[in-house]
Amino acid sequence: MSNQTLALCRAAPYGSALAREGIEAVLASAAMEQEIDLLFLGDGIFQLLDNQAPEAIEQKSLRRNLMALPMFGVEQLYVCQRSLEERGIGPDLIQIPGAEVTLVGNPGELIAPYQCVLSF
Amino acid sequence: MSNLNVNGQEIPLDKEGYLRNLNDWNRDVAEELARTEEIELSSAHWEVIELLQEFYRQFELSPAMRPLVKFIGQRLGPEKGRSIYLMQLFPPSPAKIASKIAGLPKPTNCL
Repeated sequence: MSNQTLALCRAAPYGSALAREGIEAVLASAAMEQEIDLLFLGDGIFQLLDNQAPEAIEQKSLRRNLMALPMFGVEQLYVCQRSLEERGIGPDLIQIPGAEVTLVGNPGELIAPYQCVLSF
Repeated sequence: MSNLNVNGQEIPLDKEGYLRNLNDWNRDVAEELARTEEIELSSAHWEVIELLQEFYRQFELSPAMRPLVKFIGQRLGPEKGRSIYLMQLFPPSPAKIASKIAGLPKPTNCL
């Protein structure tokens, strides 16, 4: 745990560049053999949804990138349960094949032991 | 390098030699890109190139070394899913060189 990093994914996928920048930072860390977990909360939840249509704004799919996480060795995804409930999204809609998605009731408790936390 | 001449057609490249337009790719273009890297493409190379393109279609990104090794291993077995195997095919930097020949963008997370 001590060298483990946690990335907070808090931004909706296409409203700004933040979500993509965050994922690129995570992928770069993982490619350099760093251990990194992700916590999706707030509007960051929307990054996980399947029905994205980014072609319309000439963007690439953020969810497709997220699906590559297990290939990069990132397999632990945490999701804030309250953020999901507030947006009326069921846990079945946010699965990433090959990754373990864990719902978190108390994000503060999850974040506290990490020595390094990145926020996007 | 800014253009690649393939069968009389000028194919625009970026300053590192990657295709500017992914739609320009075909097997002749791949052969020519490989020649600039001094690689002669064998069936073993094509096997990896096709899987790289599949990786790109699936995840919309070019793989860095670690995911490339894992993906190749899943599809072609542990003998080929090893960095030494890919190094022999696409020296000196397999993720970058193979992506280039496959017509994909340079891996952004390849530092």
